[in-house]
Amino acid sequence: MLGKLLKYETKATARWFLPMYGGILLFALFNKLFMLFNFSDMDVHGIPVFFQSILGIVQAMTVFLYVMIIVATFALTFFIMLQRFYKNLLGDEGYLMFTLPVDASSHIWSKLLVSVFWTVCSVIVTILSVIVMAAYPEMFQDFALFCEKAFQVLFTQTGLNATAFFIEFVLLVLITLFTGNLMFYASISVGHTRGKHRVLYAFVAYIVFYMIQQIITSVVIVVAGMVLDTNYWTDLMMDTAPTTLIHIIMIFSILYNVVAGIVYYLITNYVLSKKLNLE
Amino acid sequence: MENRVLLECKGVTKNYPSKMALNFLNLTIERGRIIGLLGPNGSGKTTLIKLISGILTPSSGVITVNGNPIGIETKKVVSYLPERTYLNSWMKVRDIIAFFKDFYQNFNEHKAYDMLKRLNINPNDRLKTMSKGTKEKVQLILVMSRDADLYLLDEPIGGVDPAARDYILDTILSNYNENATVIISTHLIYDIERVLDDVLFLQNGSLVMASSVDEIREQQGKSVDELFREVFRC
Repeated sequence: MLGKLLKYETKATARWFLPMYGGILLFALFNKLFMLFNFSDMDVHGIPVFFQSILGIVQAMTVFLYVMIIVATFALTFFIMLQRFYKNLLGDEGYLMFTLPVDASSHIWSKLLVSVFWTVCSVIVTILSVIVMAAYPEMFQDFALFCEKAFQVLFTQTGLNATAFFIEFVLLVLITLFTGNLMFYASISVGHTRGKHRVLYAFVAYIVFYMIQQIITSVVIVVAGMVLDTNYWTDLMMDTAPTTLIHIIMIFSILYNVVAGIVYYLITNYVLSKKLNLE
Repeated sequence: MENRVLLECKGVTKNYPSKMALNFLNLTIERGRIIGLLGPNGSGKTTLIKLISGILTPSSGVITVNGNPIGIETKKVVSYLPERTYLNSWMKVRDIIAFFKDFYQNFNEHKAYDMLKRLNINPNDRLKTMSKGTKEKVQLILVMSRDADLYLLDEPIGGVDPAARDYILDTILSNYNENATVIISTHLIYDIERVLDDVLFLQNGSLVMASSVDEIREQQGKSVDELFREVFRC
């Protein structure tokens, strides 16, 4: 059943994102074309100054619109994430969704996976559009060469395994996306358990969740600081390379986000399966 | 002989912050009945139907359908028509039919297309462009095209014209089979009286009367409509 939910969730949201992606790539192409015809050289071809300035304005507009579409796409990603959960599950459309023979956890996963999918797609399309604008024949070879060099330099200068760090970083960003979405879902769900002012309570729940996370983070840092201050740990730290410490911090952050995500998931699932009250 | 009991409510109570919508309701409903759920506004009709369909959670008490507590198993066999439109407006009629077919094994696609044709609704129309009445018809078609055990119809004829009303009632009647029960909540008693087997009168969240229509006619010599006006006289 999750597969079917994913199919319809993707269909329902694709009609928003695909046109935006088309827009981004189209304007990237326009920008590229403008860059190819460098207008400062144009008077050689006999184009009057007047037209040059018009073209200059158009060029600036295309760059501006390109940036605006990217901003709008990411705003849309966020808005659709909230709207699909709030309206499709807990609004009138919830009458349909929650009378389907599907359990609450499948509903949560379908919303979550599709939302993360579109966020990742938005990032990929933005990167693609930059590649379109920067494109020249040997670009990919040059880029590969640059990466190899950069990773090498990082390693020889600091001893940091850049590949491992990169993987950890991507993993952390992905996990944070999941947890971030679930934090909104949990807040909306907590708001839903109230009879009135559900949106207001959702806001309050979000702030409370945020503060709890901040407190836990602070406590962990303080405790870690106190523990690490003892002689045993100080000696051990001296022997540990600073790069290992970076890996430890990254892995700890990933685990911390996984735990937070699980807690938010459990809250959401509890409300949707045990406390559902569609009005 | 298989168990004839389809729906059971035991001590079902539903509290809203401001009031009690259902007050310790006990109810047993068998298969093969067409039941009118009647009562004045705010008597708990919609609350009861929403509890059975699983979009509300009772404050206390237990509801079972086919012996199963409300959940995936009961949602497979309960077909619910809410009093509002729940259709995603971006879909075409054809899309929402595919949606129902995908999720409900007991959905009969041919029946749905047949009824659309009878009511002159084009499957390629977008739900967004439809009038409220047409949307209600589409929803009713979707709900009645399932071979369910229990149909819950909340105000099914409120928003449609009298001609469609007759067609809808005929549809409900022709869908009748001895294993399925239909519960219809409505104020328009006069219109649906002819199709009902039993009536349940709800008032302030309590069951004040449960009787068969024949009993009312024979013993009281009244129509359900007359009895309703008498019981709930303001």
